Amino acid sequence: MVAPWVLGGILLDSLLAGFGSLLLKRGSSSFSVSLRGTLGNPRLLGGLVAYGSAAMIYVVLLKFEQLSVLYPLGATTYIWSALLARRYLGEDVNTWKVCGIMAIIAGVALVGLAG
Amino acid sequence: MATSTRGYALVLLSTLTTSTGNALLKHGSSSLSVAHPLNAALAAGIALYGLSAVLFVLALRHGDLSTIYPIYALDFIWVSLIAMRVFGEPMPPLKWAGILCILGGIAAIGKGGSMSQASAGIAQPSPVEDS
Repeated sequence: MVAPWVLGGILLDSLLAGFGSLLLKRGSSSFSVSLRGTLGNPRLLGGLVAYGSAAMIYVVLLKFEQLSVLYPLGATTYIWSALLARRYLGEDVNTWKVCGIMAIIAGVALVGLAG
Repeated sequence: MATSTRGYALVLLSTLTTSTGNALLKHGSSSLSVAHPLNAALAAGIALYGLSAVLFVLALRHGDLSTIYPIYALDFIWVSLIAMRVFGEPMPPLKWAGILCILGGIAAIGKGGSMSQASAGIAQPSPVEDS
C-alpha cells in the first residue's frame, strides 16, 4: 500500500511539473537561445525552476516507493498539463487528446509494472 | 494556436536527444568515482539534456501545450529500446504492451492536435501559421 504522504507528494509533484510546462509554454514565445534570452525571461525561468524542482522531488520519492507505483502517478502530469492548457491558454482539449492521455498513462503504468 | 509540422519535428528531436543523453549518463555513471567526478560520457549526457530542453521549448513555441507535452512520452519508448539494445536489459511482454499503448496514445494526441488545427482555422479567419 502506498503511504498517504507519498501519494500526496507524487500528485503535488506532478501538479508542479504541470505548472512548469505551462510556464515553459508561456515563456517559449519570447525565447532565444542565449543567457540573456533565458535569464531575462521570468516565465521560462520559472518553468525551468518548477520543472527542475519537480524532477528532484521525484528522485527523493523514488527512495520511498517503487517505480511501478510512481511511474503512473507521475504520468498524471499529462492530465494537469492539459487542464492548465485549457484553462489558461484556451487550448482545445478534445476527445482524441483525452483518450490519448489515458492511453499514455496506461502505457506508462505497464512499462512501470514490467520493471 | 495550432501545432505545426515544425512543432512535431522539434518535440521528436527533443525526445531522441534526451534519451541519448540518458544512455550516456547511464554509461558514464559506471565509471564514476570521487576521484573522477566527471567523464566524457557524463559531460556529453548533461550537454544533450540541455540541448533537449532547448528543443522542447522551441517545440512549445510551434505547438499547443496539450499536443506537444504528451508527445514527449515518446521518451519512455526510446529509453526502453535503448535499455534493451544497448544495455541488454530484459524486455518482458508487459513492457512491449506498454510501449504499444503509449504509441497508440501519441497517435490519438496527433489526431486530436490536427483537429484543434482545423477548428482553430474555422474560428480565426486568417491565422498566421508559423511553419
